[in-house]
Amino acid sequence: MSSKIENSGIPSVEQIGSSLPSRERRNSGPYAVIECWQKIPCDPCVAACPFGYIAPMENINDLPQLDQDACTGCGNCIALCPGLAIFVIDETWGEPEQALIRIPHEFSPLPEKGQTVRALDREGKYVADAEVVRIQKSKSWTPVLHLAIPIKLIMDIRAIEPLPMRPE
Amino acid sequence: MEFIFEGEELAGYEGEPIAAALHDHGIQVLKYSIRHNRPRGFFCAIGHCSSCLMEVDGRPNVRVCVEPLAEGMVVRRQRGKGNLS
Amino acid sequence: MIAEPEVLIIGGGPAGLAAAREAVKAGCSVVLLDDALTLGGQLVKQTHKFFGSEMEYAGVRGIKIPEILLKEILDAPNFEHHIRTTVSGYYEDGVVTAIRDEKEMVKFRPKKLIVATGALEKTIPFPNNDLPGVYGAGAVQTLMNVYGVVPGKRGLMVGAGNIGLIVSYQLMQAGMEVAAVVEGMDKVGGYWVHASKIARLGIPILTRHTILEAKGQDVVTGAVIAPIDENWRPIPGAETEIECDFICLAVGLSPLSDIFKLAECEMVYVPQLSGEVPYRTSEMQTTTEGIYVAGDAGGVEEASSAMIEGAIAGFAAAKALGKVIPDYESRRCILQDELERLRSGPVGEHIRGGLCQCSLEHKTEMN
Repeated sequence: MSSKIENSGIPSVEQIGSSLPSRERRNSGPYAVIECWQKIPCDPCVAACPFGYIAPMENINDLPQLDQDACTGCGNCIALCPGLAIFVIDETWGEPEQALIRIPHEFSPLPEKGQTVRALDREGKYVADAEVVRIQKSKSWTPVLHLAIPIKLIMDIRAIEPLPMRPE
Repeated sequence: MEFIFEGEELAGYEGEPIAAALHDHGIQVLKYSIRHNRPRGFFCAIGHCSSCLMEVDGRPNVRVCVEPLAEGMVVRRQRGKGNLS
Repeated sequence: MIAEPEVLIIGGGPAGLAAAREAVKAGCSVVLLDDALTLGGQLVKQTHKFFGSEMEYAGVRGIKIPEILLKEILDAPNFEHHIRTTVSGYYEDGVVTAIRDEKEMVKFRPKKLIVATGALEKTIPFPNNDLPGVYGAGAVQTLMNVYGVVPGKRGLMVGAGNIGLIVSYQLMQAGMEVAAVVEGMDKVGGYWVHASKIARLGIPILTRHTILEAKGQDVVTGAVIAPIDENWRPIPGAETEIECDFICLAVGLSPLSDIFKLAECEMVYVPQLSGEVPYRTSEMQTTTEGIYVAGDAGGVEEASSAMIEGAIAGFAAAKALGKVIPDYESRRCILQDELERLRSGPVGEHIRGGLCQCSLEHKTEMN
């Protein structure tokens, strides 16, 4: 029997939960979550962390081990993961019912700062509006969007609906 | 630049594969099969499947998915096996 | 007139370019031939970031890699390359013929030959699978990413290996819709992260499903899909019509091994490597003296391992020619180790299973 993620690309609640840090850590500031649960030959995340908080891998197929208590939430890793599997969440941001999530978004055109966009759940269904707080361009051409989202959806929102392409 | 497809002048980019230029104009049927006259088009893009053979400047069996477009090229749909003379 | 380079490399994709780099740097006179309009093989349309590790340019987008591989050798006086040149034959006296620009025949008699011809997309049988609008997924990738031409508005992807998943993502990046990805197995064959990337954009992945037929007169106007049982038989009455104007087949690749057969290299059919491949040593030499294999032509795998195999072959050919290569053994071991590392995880398991079946060292041990 194959698992949910290998059937549909949608992780189980347990898998998602396993990438979150302790409640204490979540309440102290931004943290990275690495949603990479399959042993594949891949290790750019290790070098991506400027502080070395993702442990060097003995075997390139190992799962990434992030020291979440030490993680500063700098987000350097987001744009460098080839699988687009790393996100930074800040539950302390904004109003109590809000959170800030930083996601990779490889689509053109990019939204504008301040624009409201449609945030999607892991099945691609629209679940909430999100405000684009900041757009970060990066060296690897993977833009990172900083989105203000409802805090209750931090386990669900990992993408936004791509904006329609402008006609030539 | 311009090239000619079945008598009509079309615009394309110098050097792009002829099949891409045709596709850009919505032309997807590149030939008809020899026995059953079935429409055929772009498939493998690396010149290995023979689905895209057309007549270019009088030359038959040109693999248009890897043949670069040039100014004034005359491209036609090949019927049958093509004439080598 | 027969040119006589020390090393002739057939194929300018990741394997061929990596082989060229090593052979040129070791001082060999090298000629590289490729039948496409540019060098780079399938890298030229791979806009996504590579996996693996630094040695294989992990994190770098595929399209940037040919440049990196060529940088040190493009202007070297001992390196010559010809594009739009299709190898047409290999003769018993070691002569390789090729047609350049569809105009002239050129001939080479190299001392060492490295065959890095890659692989060809497979197709699956279903009614109307020959209609315009049915593309190899890699072909659609080329059309979109290299030539900026859109194959249609809404497509159906058949196959959930890495190619099917990645191309679905790239179709969305290019503004198209993907109705679904159908996969006959009971799980995706590609990396879960690629599957998640497209699931969260709303592309449904339907495992244990297959395409029954394409619909349309002159071009694709739709498709019919159905769930299948454990015996891969469609479940009657459960068909669904899919609205689409193109269909991508991402159902695997087959090594392009014609040249090995012409050169009478001993071949073996290895399902895990997707086809018939030559036996080879750990230095990538086939059973025909002086002929080496690298990349997908020797077994369908990845660009990352293609690059390393190419480097090993280029290196080995140079050594066999008597070139002085400082630290040859240690450098060769680093490359071998890297290959083993890449292949050591669960996803590398079936490759490892395939490789024992075509390894000359293994064959000798068994006898």
